[in-house]
Amino acid sequence: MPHLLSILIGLSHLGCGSTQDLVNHQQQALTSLKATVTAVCDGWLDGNLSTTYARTALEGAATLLEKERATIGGSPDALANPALASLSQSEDQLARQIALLRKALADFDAAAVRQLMSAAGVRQSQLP
Amino acid sequence: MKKIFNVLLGVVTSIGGFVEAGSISTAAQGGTEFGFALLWAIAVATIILAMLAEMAGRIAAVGKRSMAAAVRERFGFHYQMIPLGAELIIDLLLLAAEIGGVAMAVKLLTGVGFQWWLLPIGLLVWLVIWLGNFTIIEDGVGLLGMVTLAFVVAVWQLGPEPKVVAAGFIPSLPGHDLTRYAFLTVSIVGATVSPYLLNFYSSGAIEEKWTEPDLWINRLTSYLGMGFGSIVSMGVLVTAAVVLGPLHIRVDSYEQAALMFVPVFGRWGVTLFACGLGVGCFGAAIEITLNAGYVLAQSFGWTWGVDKARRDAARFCAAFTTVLLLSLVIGLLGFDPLQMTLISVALTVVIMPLIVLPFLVLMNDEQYVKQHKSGSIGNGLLAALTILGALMALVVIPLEIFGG
Repeated sequence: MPHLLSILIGLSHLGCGSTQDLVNHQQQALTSLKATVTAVCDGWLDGNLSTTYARTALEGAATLLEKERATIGGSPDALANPALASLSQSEDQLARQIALLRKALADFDAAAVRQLMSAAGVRQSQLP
Repeated sequence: MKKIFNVLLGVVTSIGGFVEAGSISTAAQGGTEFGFALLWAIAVATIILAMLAEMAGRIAAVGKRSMAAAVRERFGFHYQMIPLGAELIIDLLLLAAEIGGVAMAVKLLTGVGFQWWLLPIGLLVWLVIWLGNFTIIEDGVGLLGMVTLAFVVAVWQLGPEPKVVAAGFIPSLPGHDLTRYAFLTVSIVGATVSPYLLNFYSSGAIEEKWTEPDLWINRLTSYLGMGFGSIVSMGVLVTAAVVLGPLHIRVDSYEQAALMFVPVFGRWGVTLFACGLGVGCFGAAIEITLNAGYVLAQSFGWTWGVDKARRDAARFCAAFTTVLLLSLVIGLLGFDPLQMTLISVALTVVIMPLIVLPFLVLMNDEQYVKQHKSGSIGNGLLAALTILGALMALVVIPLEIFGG
């Protein structure tokens, strides 16, 4: 029984995770979402992706991003950590960028999409 | 000649019916996060599935009983209630996930929210079962599912280094995220070895009136069909690894997964992905719905069969209709289809020992398999699988929490 208890306690510690785990997770999620947005916009600009799909994909990215922002927001002490605070800022920026990109897509405004992408400093044609 | 045609058709439909929401999502996640390193998990899971399906088919052809009916008869009604309850819960969740997968495929093409498509798709599933017969359902869905071969074509076009791909068939530990790796390994097994497939396979053998001389058809269909089918699943993993992995795009949604086809198929990429996802999930939804009717009818001793007049199998029809309706209710609650898929796949692993253990007894009982009993190798593999299944069932929930 004591062994079982210590295993459970160990697992619960794992479950809480360290701040570093949260930083790593947020970093990976942010990288993935940024890459998704880039790939979607590149594909749309190249004519490989329809506006319908591009808007759907950006909406999906925005939903996933919102979950990640809620993760940081749900932890009261998280923003005291400089790395998490920086990631939180980047997530906010990405959320705004996605909103602007969705609007540009709705207006079929390729120039605005290009401008937003270059302003974000992302390379084009990253897909192999 | 007709039998050879039937075998070929069986193999082809097995290929077309292999890929569905669970296999697409777990393989795509595995590929993006660990490259080719989880190919071995798909290979091992396929061998397990083919072995169990062949045994279920043997019991059906020789013993003239489906798996559920055989377990009820051999272990008693009270025991059967345990796997029945577990399987129904899994069927409900998986069905909601598959219908959600079809709805997501339509959403990728139309941009209209997936919740709007759940009821029409549910109605379509019901209509296909209600109006069709077993041959039309099995062969039609399987042949349509050939669109999933696009994943294999994608690998061919992308041309990854064969040596590097081959290395993925050798189990190895990753240099990062061991818990996540373990979770995805178990999930791939859960997505491949679905309990519904086994009872559906044996029920199908009875619907098609297999007999002892058809055992070679059973062997070929299970091993060749599922073997080739797994190549499609591996195609998903390799395509995701080659296209999305280097970009660090993780597959947390079907929208992200659809991007894997763009470099290969250009403007047709998303459409092809949506067709593959939609058809694969639709086929699985039909099979799960039917299986829910089969397993309930066989457990309670009702008349069953999709080829029977509906009024002669009224309780069977009521059973699959009820399960379909309940799964639609679950779907309409608004769960993300991909998350629903991953949860149901993990729960599938939890009930795996309940599904595997009866094989060990039934395959050694002459009443069910006559002289076609399992040999020492078959029994050894079953025993190992039972232990492995129990171990995976123990670890899958902690892995879901910490690595899922």
